[in-house]
Amino acid sequence: MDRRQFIASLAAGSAMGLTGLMPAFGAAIVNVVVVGGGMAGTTAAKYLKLWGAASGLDVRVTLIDANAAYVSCILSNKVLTGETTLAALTYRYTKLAGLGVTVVQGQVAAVDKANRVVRLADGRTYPYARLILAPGIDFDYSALTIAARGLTADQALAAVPHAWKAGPQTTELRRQLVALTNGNRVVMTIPAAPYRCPPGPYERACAIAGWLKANRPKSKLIVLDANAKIIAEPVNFGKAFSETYRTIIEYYPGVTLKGVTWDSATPKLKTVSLLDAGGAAVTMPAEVVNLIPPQKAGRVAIDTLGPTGLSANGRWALVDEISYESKVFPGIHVIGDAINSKQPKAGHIGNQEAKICADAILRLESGRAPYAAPVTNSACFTPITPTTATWLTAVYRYQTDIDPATGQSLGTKSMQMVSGNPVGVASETPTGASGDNADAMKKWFASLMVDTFG
Amino acid sequence: MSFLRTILAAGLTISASAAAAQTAGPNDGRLLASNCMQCHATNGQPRPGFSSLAGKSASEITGEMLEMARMTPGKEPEKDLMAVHARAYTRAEIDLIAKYLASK
Ligand SMILES: Cc1cc2nc3c(=O)[nH]c(=O)nc-3n(C[C@H](O)[C@H](O)[C@H](O)COP(=O)(O)OP(=O)(O)OC[C@H]3O[C@@H](n4cnc5c(N)ncnc54)[C@H](O)[C@@H]3O)c2cc1C
Ligand code: HEC
Repeated sequence: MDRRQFIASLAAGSAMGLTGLMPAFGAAIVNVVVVGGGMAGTTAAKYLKLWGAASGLDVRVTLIDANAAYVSCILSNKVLTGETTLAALTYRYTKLAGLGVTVVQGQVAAVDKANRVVRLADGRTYPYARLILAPGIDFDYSALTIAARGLTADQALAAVPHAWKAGPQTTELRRQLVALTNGNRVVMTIPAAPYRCPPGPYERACAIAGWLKANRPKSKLIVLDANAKIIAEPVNFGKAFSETYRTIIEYYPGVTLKGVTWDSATPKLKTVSLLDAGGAAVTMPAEVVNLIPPQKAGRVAIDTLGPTGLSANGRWALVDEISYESKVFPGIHVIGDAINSKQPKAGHIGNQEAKICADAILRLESGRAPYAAPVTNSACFTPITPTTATWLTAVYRYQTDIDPATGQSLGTKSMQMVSGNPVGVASETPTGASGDNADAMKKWFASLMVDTFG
Repeated sequence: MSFLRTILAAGLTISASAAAAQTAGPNDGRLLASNCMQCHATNGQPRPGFSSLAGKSASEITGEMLEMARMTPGKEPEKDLMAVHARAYTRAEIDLIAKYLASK
């Protein structure tokens, strides 16, 4: 029933609007299409249905993901070490379907903004009144030379796995680690920020180093960081690198990666090329390369919003964080890792961005303004060894941007940190890496995934 | 009550609550409290490792939040996760959150 029929039924003396028991029946239809069933998109679809029921609107939600199930990146470093499996980190959309979300498996190929239609690669189309893009990230290899004699470009990329989207690449990196001979060298590269999960690469380094220490103790892990220093939990990770994994990890900040080359006949003889922090060209041999490349918003966001709706570097979606609506294209919201934000690119906070976006859509469609000062939080538990973890939390609030130089208002608003652990001091995590924190991490992860997938 | 009067009465209630919604914002508490759900579960139900937020009174929740957020001059502030979290909110926000959770 559309708005016109609703008015007609009221005129006919229908009393159904008075019962309050069937809020959606006879209400205005709002079609929301969510692209990407990851941490952010799934939460948005779920909360649109949960909250939509009491909104007086008939909220119809379609969630489109390329895959039939979602594999969590969170805790996927523990797949590399054999502590868990991808199967154990796989989540289905059954509960969402139970809430009335229409779940579609398919690759979104294009968004027709003029006609407000989402088009899949197989030709199926989905019209929308509001579109939520939550495609996560894509990788940018454009500044790198990754080449192997005897391999296609794609085969070469797959042979130096990022494992930064949990899935086949995680399995491949695990396979390569297990195939190492004691004494072989692993190189991992960290891209310049911003990238998905600020502490993630350092956590990855601890995971690989922990596995090497126990299983290939003569091996080394060489960490090549494009950033000038450890950008998250510098004290916790600094301690892990220089104490816990002193015999395994060599950490080099300020590195510009140039590429990796090898011959497919000798896959364990790879050459990594880079400029060191002083700008000198260096090459180093490695048996395994875990290459985490620079990142940008998932392609569907870039294609739909670019170039005007993207940050100046063309990588991230420009949104107003009061509603996550594009600053340029009305009716299109973007949440999660794909946005330009001071909030970290992380699953826990992506979940909260999604709820704010869902609430704002319900208010906007009811003719009201979004809530004026939304609040989000980030919580990150980081395994340091198989039995210990640290944590970091921060709360963000939508407030006026201040020019740090003058202290004057810039006249714009965005999400800004208002509370958080002290960073860079001895007690970054009050208890340091502990078994209690590792236990809390498992409980936190389970709760987060229940809040997201049902 | 006649059918017409029912409609009128209901109409009044609806517009009165709609007006209240404009000022007090009935979903403001719901939105703020959703920022607890990643850990304390959708609707604040108990989860392993996390206290139930549902089933507490508003004054209990407010009291616990203020206690966790407290900064005593001259004393090292509490640094556990909930303390860092609780300190982010204004008193008005804590009241909105507590009121919403108590209604669950
Ligand atoms: C090793 C590692 C550890 C991490 N640890 C943590 C942690 O401890 N805490 C934390 O909060 N975060 C962590 N993260 C980060 C977290 O995984 C991401 O920030 C989060 O997944 C982002 O959510 P998202 O919804 O934006 O993207 P995603 O979760 O990646 O979801 C995007 C979805 O969109 C789909 N998609 C994309 N394009 C299309 C298209 N064209 N058509 C159809 N579907 C499409 C994809 O299939 C995918 O399912 C970690 C990440 C890594 C790699
Ligand atoms: C990142 C995870 C996280 C988030 C988000 C979070 N909490 Fe907590 N909370 C905890 C942990 C951990 C504890 C300590 C264990 C426990 O008692 O549940 C706790 C404890 C509490 C307690 C004390 C319970 C008791 O009986 O002592 C209250 C009350 C509480 N939280 C309220 C909230 C409210 C309200 C919010 C949202 C505004 C919130 N929490 C958000 C993790 C979180």
